[in-house]
Amino acid sequence: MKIMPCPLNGPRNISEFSCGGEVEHLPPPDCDHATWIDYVYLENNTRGIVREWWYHTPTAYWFVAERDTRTDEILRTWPAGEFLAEFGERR
Amino acid sequence: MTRPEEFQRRSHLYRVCREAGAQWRAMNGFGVPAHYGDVGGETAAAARLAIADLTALPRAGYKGWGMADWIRDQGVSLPEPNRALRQEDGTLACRLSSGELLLLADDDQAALIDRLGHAWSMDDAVCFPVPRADASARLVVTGDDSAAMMAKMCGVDLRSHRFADHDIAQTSVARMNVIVLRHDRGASLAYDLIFDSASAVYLWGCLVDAMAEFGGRIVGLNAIDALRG
Amino acid sequence: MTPGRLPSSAGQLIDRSKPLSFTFDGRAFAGYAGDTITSALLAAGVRVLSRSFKYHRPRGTLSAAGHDANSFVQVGDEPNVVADTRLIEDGMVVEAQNVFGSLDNDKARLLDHLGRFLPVGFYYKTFYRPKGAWKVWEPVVRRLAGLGTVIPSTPHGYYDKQYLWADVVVVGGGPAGMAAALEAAAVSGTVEVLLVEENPCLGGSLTYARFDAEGERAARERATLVAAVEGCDNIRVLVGAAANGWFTDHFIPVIQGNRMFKVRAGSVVVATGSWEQPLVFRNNDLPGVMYGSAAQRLVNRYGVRPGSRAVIATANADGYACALDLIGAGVDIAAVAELGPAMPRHDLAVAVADHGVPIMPRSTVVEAEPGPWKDTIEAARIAEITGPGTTAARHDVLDCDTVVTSVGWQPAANLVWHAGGRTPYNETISMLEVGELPAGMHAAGSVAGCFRIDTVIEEGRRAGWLAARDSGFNGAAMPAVRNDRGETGQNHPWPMFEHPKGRDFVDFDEDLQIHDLKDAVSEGYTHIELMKRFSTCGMGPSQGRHSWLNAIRINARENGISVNEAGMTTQRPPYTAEKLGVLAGRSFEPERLTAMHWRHVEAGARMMQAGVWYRPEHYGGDDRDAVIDAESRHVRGKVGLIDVSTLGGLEIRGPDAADMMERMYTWAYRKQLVGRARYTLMTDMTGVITDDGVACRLHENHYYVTATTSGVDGVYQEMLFWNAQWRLRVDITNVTGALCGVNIAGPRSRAVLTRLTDEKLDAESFPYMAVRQANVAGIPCRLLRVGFVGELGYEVHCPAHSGEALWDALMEAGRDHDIRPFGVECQRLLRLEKGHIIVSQDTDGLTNPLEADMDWALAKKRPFFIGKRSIDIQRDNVQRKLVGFEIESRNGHGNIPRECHLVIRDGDITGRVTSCSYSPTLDKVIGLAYVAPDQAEPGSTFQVRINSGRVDGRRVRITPDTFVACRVVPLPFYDPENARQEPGNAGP
Repeated sequence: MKIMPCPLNGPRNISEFSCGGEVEHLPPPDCDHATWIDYVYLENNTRGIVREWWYHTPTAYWFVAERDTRTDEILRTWPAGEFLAEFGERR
Repeated sequence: MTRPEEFQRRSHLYRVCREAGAQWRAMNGFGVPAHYGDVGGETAAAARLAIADLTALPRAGYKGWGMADWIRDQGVSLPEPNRALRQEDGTLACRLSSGELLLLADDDQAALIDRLGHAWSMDDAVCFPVPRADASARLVVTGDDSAAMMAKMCGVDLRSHRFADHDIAQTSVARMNVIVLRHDRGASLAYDLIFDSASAVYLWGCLVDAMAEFGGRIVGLNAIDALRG
Repeated sequence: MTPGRLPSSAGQLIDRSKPLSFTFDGRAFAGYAGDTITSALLAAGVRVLSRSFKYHRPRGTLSAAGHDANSFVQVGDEPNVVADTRLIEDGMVVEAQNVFGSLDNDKARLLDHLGRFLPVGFYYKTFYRPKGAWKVWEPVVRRLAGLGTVIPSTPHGYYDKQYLWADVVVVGGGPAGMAAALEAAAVSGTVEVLLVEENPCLGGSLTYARFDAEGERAARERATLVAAVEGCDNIRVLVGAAANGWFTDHFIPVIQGNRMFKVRAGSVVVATGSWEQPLVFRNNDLPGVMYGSAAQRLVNRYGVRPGSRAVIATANADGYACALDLIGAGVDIAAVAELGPAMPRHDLAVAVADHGVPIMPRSTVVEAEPGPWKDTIEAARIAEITGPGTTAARHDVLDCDTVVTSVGWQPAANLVWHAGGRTPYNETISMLEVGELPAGMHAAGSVAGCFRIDTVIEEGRRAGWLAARDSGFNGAAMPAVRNDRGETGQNHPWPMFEHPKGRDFVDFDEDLQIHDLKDAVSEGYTHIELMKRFSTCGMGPSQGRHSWLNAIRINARENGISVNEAGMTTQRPPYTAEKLGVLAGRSFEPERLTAMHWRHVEAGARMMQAGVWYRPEHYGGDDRDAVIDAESRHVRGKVGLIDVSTLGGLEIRGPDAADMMERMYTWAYRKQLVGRARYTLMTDMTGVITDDGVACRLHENHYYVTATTSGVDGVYQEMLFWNAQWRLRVDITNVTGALCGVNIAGPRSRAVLTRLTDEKLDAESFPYMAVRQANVAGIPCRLLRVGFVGELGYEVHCPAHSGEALWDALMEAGRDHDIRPFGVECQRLLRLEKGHIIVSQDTDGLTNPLEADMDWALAKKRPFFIGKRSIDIQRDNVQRKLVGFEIESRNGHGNIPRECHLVIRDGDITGRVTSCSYSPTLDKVIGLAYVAPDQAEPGSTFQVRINSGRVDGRRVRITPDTFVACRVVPLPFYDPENARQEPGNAGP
């Protein structure tokens, strides 16, 4: 079983987590239909390095992990707040 | 003789403990299993492997973006996340995350918990009470074999040389979300388990099953108090 | 002289002071503690253990190590026990399997004579025509090709699992593994080493192999290494334990008895040894044909002489070592056929020659001649090798009862393969070699292609040191290794001699001969993966461990490519067979009980599972419908009490609480008054309904929101997800387990509640959808006036540990008013009468609020809530509508539509029924259904097909009678003016 290095809880079995999908910008409310539909229905399915939301179930804790989908290697993790501080807040 | 149904507040486990032969005493609005008729044997067992229901003991929680500031203002010393720190009145302050604190008392003298309860107000609040007293059950697993027994239910390495006293693991135990706190009683290794109260009967059953191969016993609060010395 | 037990000094693993008795096919046998079923039977002269899978040929031990299915037997209720490795126990009942009649007189053995009618791909070719033929033949084939008998009445065993942590895990307790464990443990006293050995004791090849002419080395090394391991505090040894796979981040399931250890390692040393490989010649499957290592295991471990007169065919030094062991055991060696060009010069060969054994260079066994019953060997035919796989026509015929072969080895590299490591074929030594290994994994010993004992131990030490380093421990300098991997263990490049009459087996499990594999390639199944699947080579119980090396060689030659170009099929866990019980272990199935659970049980409730919770379905009685009707009449007429503790509860608190509510839910909450409750509807980004409940505003900055039992965890996770990004000043807490709740409903509910609280409950002080914090029976509660079931009613939520006391107080206070508990089914009926939907019953994974006729719950002016944009996009394209319908019924609970029965128009599906029930209050059948938008007007009718082609399990013809006409009616069905929900109008 894979190990996920959780920013709050340290290395843990991956079974304690669930993946929330790639970090994406919520489109503005006035975007066109195509943009919205792309956001809602189409996954990027990136081959390479992605940043994803992950959820540690026992602590109800969301954080961001950088993962290489080719090797399934987890390269880095951030607490949600630190990630947003580094890469820009969104509302 | 005291009976648990005389009290308005009842642990989900009182029937299970009654079937195991519990003798009761009053505490914090509950009837609690003081012993099972063999305090000496229970105390000796608790040093090897035993479980007890501590659900009646006072506890409280605070959570929110401003928890650390507010709780420090109240004179509480905060540990790092996933560590517990004993306060002056004996209360254990368990830091569950940067913004969440769990307070555990080991007897019904819960001065700090009471004081915080009175100090908190909804107006201008930057953190909020978590109803830990009712949301959670609290069990304790004590004794030399407790780490080996926990390994049958939990994927975190809780062995005493890898998981220090007052370390906290918020993890999955028997497929449930459980806060595991290492909280030795005297010289005895012990883990407190704080988890969803509605699952208490389930987890208790898992523990009784898991400890059978080690000869573990169900013990009363008197035996746990005796370990604390 | 037949096979038998050697004099008392022989056999390292048996304890002659502990005799045991067991039965095999009804006959009594004796053996010693430490004997396997195979060794004990051979000691008694029994060689035939089973019948083969396809041709029912008699089979005996090949490897004496379970590397084939030859030794599969049934032990009591346990099928497919490996007799080669299962230790005997007193009173054990062993039976042959895959046998019709008896093992000696298997009626199905005639299949052997039909062999040419059973070519490769036989099943695929024979039974597919005419259509349906397979249905007829399948049970016959399954019975003929069965492996053991599953006995359904077998009592459940107790299995469990346990996590285990180690810095270094060494898999394999032979010389390399023991050396690795010792070195890793020596790096630091704090290194935790776990040594896993499949056999019942440590030693590996040292328990049977011979490394010197004198025959002393193995026992000496074993004694030294075992003593050192046992004396080492930081090595934990698990024997009789199979490391059954490698999973990401060095997670290794180790099965010992009925327990699976879930081992998490810092690093891994693979010292799993190798499997000897067969020589392929005609009748190479006769009982009495065995590997050299098998003969050595029998002699040296169990003190069993495998036969009286043997011919040995060998391509390496192991064959000569085996010859010396057999000579020592009193076996007459008729000859050694040396597959190489000349007699080797090493000490072992010289010692064999010194015993006067004829050594025949450039020769091989080409056929074993069977005895009259085809289950013994009478002679071996030996011929000169003229090229790869070809021999001279002239044969020497040597009388013998045993043929021993030592022609090469295959690394038992399963864990390496699981971890993604490669083992390319080295043409020079004709062997798969462990190549580059994944990080944190090291290999040593014969799995890594090293057969010289001194070097094996040194390489083991180095692997152990490296593994400790990978786990973060640094000690003394890396141990040196000599550059001499020895000459034993060399593989012959082509140990296969096809016979014109066949019966030259490559795969013993699946009865596959050389020509079967050649035929598979010539029929177009050229790729190794296709050849495997078409022929089933390597798909038997031993998973190719004795067959796939030769199979790849055949594939390569037939395709005219190299062995590396042919490649290897993918190997996946498990390494060896594991019981389903071990995988299941102790099943952890969390259950949640409300504080009032036992009160329901005491009141005779039938409890049902609702997600992880248990809820009362209804109280007492065998006539379910009648009980539920009675409960519903009681609520409508008097007063009922239902446990609603399983409802989800969330606290939304902080200055941005209203903002959070309006982003997550579809309706408006900013202007909601403190002390009032409001319906909540949640949709996801696609606009699909995901949950509903009520929001109670308890303070300007505090909403207490209920959610559905099964939905609350998802709602909570979703809210946290969004606020991890929005970072509003709001805290979200899941208080589901913290609160217990009841709904007291019915015209007398206010009268009951008044007895227990000082709160004013009159219509003016406590209107519909009001919320109060008040004491009930001295318990601090949240009190909500609700109308889910359509009568005057109050939800009372209290701290969980006071839940039972609250229940008791309400039941006691209601005694004079004839209060009765009611269950979930009654509540479902009552809410249906009132036209309320249940999310996930009346909605599905695609339902949006427009379809569910809940446009009223959508905030129109707000630019954003989760799902708003998607709902707006779908506004002009609503494909179906949820409507209420009724059918006239004179027969109560008779044949009425059920959930998921289809709405059909002109042969097309336009919708489905989501809820339907007989309403005793209204005396008609009512329900909710999705229909096409043009069928949704009140007064319209539609047709529901009330069965799916089956009635009571029997297939029936669909006739027009199986359709029921339904009429759309406005909702709710019951009390459309909501008069019953008001205290003044609610009767007594």
